[in-house]
Amino acid sequence: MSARAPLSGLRRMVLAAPALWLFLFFLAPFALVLKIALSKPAIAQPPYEPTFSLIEGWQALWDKIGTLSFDTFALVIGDDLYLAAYLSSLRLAAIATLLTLLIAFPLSLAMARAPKHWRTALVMLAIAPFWTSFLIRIYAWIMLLKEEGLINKLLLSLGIISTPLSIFATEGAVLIGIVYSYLPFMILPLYNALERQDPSLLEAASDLGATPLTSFWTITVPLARSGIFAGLLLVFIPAVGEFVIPDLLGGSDTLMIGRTLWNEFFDNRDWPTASAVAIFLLVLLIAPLMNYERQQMKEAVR
Amino acid sequence: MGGAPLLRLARVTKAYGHLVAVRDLSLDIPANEFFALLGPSGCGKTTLMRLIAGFETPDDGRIYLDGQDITDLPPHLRPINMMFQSYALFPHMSVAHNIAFGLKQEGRPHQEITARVEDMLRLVQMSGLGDRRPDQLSGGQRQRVALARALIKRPKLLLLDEPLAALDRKLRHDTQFELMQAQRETGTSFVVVTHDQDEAMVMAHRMAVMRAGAIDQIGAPREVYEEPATRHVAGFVGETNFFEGRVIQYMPGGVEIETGKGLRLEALCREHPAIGSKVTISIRPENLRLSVPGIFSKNGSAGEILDHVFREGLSSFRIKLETGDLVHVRKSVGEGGAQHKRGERVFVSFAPEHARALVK
Amino acid sequence: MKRGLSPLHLAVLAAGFAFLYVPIALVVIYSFNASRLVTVWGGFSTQWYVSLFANEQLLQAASISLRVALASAALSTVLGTCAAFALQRFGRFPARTLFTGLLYAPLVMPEVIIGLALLLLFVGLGIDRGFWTIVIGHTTLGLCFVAVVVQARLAGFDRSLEEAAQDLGASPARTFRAITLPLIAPAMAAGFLLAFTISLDDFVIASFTSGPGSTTLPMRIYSQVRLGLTPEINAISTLLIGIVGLSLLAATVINRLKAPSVR
Repeated sequence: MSARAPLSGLRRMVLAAPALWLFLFFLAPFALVLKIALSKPAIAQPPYEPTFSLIEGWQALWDKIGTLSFDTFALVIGDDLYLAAYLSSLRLAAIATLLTLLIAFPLSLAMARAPKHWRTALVMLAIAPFWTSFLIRIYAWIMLLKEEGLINKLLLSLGIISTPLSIFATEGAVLIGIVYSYLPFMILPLYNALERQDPSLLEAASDLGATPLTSFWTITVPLARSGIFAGLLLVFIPAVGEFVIPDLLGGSDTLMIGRTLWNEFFDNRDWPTASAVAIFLLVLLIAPLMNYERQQMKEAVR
Repeated sequence: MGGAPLLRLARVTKAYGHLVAVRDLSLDIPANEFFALLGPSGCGKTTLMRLIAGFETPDDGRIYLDGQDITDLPPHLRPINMMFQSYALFPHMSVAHNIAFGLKQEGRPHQEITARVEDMLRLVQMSGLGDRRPDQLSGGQRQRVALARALIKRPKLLLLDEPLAALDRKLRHDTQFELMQAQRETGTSFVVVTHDQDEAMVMAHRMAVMRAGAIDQIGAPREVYEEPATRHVAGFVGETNFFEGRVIQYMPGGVEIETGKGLRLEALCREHPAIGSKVTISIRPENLRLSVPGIFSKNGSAGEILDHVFREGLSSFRIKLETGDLVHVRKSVGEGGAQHKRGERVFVSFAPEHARALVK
Repeated sequence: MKRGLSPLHLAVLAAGFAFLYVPIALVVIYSFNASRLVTVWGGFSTQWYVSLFANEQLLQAASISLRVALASAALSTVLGTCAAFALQRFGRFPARTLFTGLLYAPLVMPEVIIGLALLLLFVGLGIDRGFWTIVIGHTTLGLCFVAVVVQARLAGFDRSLEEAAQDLGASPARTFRAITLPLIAPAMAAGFLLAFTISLDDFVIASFTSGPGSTTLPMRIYSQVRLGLTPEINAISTLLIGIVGLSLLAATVINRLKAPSVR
């Protein structure tokens, strides 16, 4: 029974605690991001101006609001570097997401079709890497991909190649890193969708004369659509803003917007530009984010 | 019996938004009664039960237990217990702890709890299984644990929500008699909520047939079966045949109607419908007579046997009358149920005293 | 289906899990490498573990990380469980959609954005960054994960269990303690573990929200990784993998032993 009555005192507190927390530490800060994106960089502490304070009185505050401007936005839009970083982020995230799907789908299907008593263990195994440190997993790939890395060592000693491959510090390495790091996020929703499917559907299809391939495309894939969609969003959205993977596995020419933001912020100490970049990134992700949220809420209702 | 009833519902109403689940309903249940609330899903019987248990508060009206107003008492303070449809056994507690739960809330001494749990385990034939966990029990055993848990506090009233719904057919049959026995032995009033008229007919001393948030009829099962008050009751409790028509004249204790197809039929009637008003005649399948057509006979019509099924000593016939109506007729072998064959032409009729003309 | 695994499925599983596990396994194996060059095998040795425990900075970072993780996981569990109850039990309250949105968004939001926003907040409010600001950052992320895990458990929770307890005379408070809490405890524990691991693992948010003297372990590891491969990183990675692996195993075993179904 859903209570339509007003919330009691206790319930109000139970709701208020997480709601206030999220409001204060998640939602409200975005207002600040916007404000600072409208400010100018300054050699000061904090490194932007104006800084608002009521100590100087309302009039002073009002004057300062007048100095806010869209200059930084104009700068970010006008600079090809940022545009290139955006496009490159979207491209790399999209390719990596599709690659993740291509690897995760057969794996999830095999898991879902495994004998029942195996499945829990297989799911655990598939998610377990997610619990080990993200940095360690990236570090593992540095070890594998470097010029003097293990893959090159192996291939050279087997005589398959004569000169070491240079994968490290390329976009290829970034793609591998994203696929590897986010694979569990794709497997989980896919597996859930596939495991729910009634195996007798495939038997019915083959009984009606469908080849296994036809059954796959007309039954298995369409019924897994919600899982595919969830997995795509779950990988794509965070991948677009990824910083660690391009920073550690990519080359100096690997442009990704998360890295740009980081550099503006930490290296150039240009907070207004970093904030403007963050706002653009958010705008870019708003549509997929909304989609993801809608899906989560539908799932929660079910 | 005399005195106040054990449970009294006085003009109780409960609505969820625009949906009125229980409408201005009054009901008295005496002590030591096996009472059944019968109705199709959505008729308000579950809401009524939850109102009695205290999980819902009525928008209007009062609820009394032993003359005491309990309308605003929360569920944990009501001397009423309930057996849930899902049984709601606590999965993290053993059978014995499940059964003991109610007594622990009363703060009873440990020894008394142990003794009474043993007693209850014996009553439901589960002695020695107290250490099991609910997920180690069969469906029938779970049902008995749920019953023991609900009875251990010796409630004045026990509510049972579809107590047999989760059991298979064979088990359901045996359990019916176990529930009746438990009611007799404890002297607690049982109120069973069910959508299965068979269950109500077998177990209940009295039953209430509900529809759309209100009670259509209250009475002993046989009375409800033989003297249905409304068309809904007649159709819901047992099988029946309906003939709709308009009253054309009054007969002693009854009426004669003419159906849309021109058939004239007589039946008893408790009310006084106006001449020309619409009524429905209900006639039970076992009260229809089959005879050879051609011989003059009133109160019926000739027809052809479409199907004949023999089951549990009874012959069931589906007959298409000349008027186009389909009727069901049931005959025991002794009544000549075996004589008639599929495709045969017969005359179907009934005695007016066996049929009821219903206004509502 | 009665059939076992087809050879094709088996091959897919083997390849998939090899992809997932071989890189991690290699990190572990090469932590016992005697050679200073990580990718050149120079015989078995545990010397890197010894030098690890002599590394003052690393140990201090590890201790900070552990304390941050414990504090934020505890806070996340309390707040996330509250949020799960609000979502699952409170029906339609004002701004429910906004609340749900706020709860799901951090799960996928790029961490650089969360980190930057939090940092600007702390600067704007004039709060000195340090231990507690990292805890706040990690709790914001962790409480959302806890909420999702606990909410799933609550969604599968048969409400008649609580009604039965009340019907048998337990007050709402007692019902919560005797029935609800024990039955959602496994989910809360799983949520705690998840929040703990996420906090222990996080590098990006910690980088934005930490201050002088509160460098976390991932921050140290990151700066070492940037400098190049060193066997010490392999050693500390192996320890972390071992700890996480053991606690996962323990959690699974505990769950197996006493996870009654709530349906």
